[in-house]
Amino acid sequence: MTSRMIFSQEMENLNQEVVQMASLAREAVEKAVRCIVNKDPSLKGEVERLDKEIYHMEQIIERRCLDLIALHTPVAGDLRTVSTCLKIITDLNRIGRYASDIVEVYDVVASANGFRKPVNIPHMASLVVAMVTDATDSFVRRDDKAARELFERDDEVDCLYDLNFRAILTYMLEDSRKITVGTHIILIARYLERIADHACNIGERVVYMVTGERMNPKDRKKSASRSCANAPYTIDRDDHNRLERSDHDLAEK
Amino acid sequence: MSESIFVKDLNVWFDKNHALKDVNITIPKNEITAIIGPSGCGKSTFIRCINRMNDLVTKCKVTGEVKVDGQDIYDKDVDVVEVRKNIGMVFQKPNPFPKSIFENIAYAPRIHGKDEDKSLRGTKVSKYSKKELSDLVERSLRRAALWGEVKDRMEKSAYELSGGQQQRLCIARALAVDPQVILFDEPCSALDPIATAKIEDLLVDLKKDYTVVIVTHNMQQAARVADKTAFFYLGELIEFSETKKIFESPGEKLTEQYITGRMG
Repeated sequence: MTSRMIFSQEMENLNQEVVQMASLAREAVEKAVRCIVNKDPSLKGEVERLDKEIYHMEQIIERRCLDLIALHTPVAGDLRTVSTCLKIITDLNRIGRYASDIVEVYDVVASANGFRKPVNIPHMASLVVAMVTDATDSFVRRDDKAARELFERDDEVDCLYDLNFRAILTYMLEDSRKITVGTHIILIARYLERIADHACNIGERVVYMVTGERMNPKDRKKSASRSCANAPYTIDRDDHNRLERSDHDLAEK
Repeated sequence: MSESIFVKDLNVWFDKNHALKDVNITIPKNEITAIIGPSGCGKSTFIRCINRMNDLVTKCKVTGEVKVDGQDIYDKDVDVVEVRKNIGMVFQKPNPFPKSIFENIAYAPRIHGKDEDKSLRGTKVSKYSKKELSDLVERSLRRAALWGEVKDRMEKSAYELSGGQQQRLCIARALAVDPQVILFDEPCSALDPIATAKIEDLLVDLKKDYTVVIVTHNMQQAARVADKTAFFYLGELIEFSETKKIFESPGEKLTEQYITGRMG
């Protein structure tokens, strides 16, 4: 086997491993969300196992990247691919970690009785899972256009997080016994929002890998203006009244 | 950064072989420019045009414009010897003269004398005194990072030096006539990694005072030392850009194929 063939084989192995790691991370998020939304404790252990496996894969892939750099000195497109893999495995590892964090609060959230169901969490979760899936697909297909679209979808997740935060804050103001569970639900929303950010990071690296263009953080923020005005969902009238009351109470205090 | 070498519509033929085709490039002053490309792509032909070395090849025809510091080196009034003095060259294999270390450096200044101006049309010269010559030899050897290794054996034959030392001696010899540009034609291909590292350090140091052009087959060497890199293929200049851009995100597919080893 020529050195060129060995290098090509190593690059192919690297690609396969990153795809496998991304698939594990996506599975972990999916299962963590199902565990919370469907109140299914059997998935808790499964998510923790996936988190450990994702961490293990990060170690393997990092070593392969360093070997490739040391032994084959990749340049141009190959260099961008190796550096992208080296960066996105950190994002994938963080995604796995957040999935594990979500199931960690399962016991508190599951035991909550009489707490109003946080309606936006399942919607937020489905958006986030789709973003992780599409970020992975953009890497597999080397599709920078699909990667750029992730930034716009991140706006929606950010808005949902804001709405969740305000709604849950209102519940907690109404009844201080709900603070523990409310805080944990806010944490879940926060973890989902961070997973979406990591999916965007992957997208940013895919753009660099395919085009060589380093995205300006301002360009990324341009779409993520954090305006909820065009969010494709609404909160119901009760929620709206509660939010207004809570704002009024906060102002008075 | 101001221009040092300006090349416009350069074409070179060796008999019927069209070796360089419409090359246009501006090489900046006080920078290292690497020339890369597969064997036979015209790299060496190109740098040999910069100091008119191709004039020595029979059936070689050169057309176009090559200006060094604004002076057209192919102008009919230009003295070729002055051109080669102003544009030094170091070759792949060290080629010291069969003389002492001192004489290797002192030979050219003694022949040329002291330059009173930098014109390529023949210059007013005066002779070096013994002291001046001795100082010039020491200065050149220091500049080539060789003085410490040879100061106690200046009268010994240059052939007693190692390959890396001989190459640095050749660089010192080129520096002794105070050139504006130094051309290196694969200067490290016959050296071990330690001698190569010394030459590379020297190249980076030399660019403070000279314009350096280096032909290399070693991609990593170009990436390590060059500020700009030009990629030649089949006699054409395919891409000329910042070295970082060439090795990270080349603009041309051919460049990418060559540097990633996917060509052919």
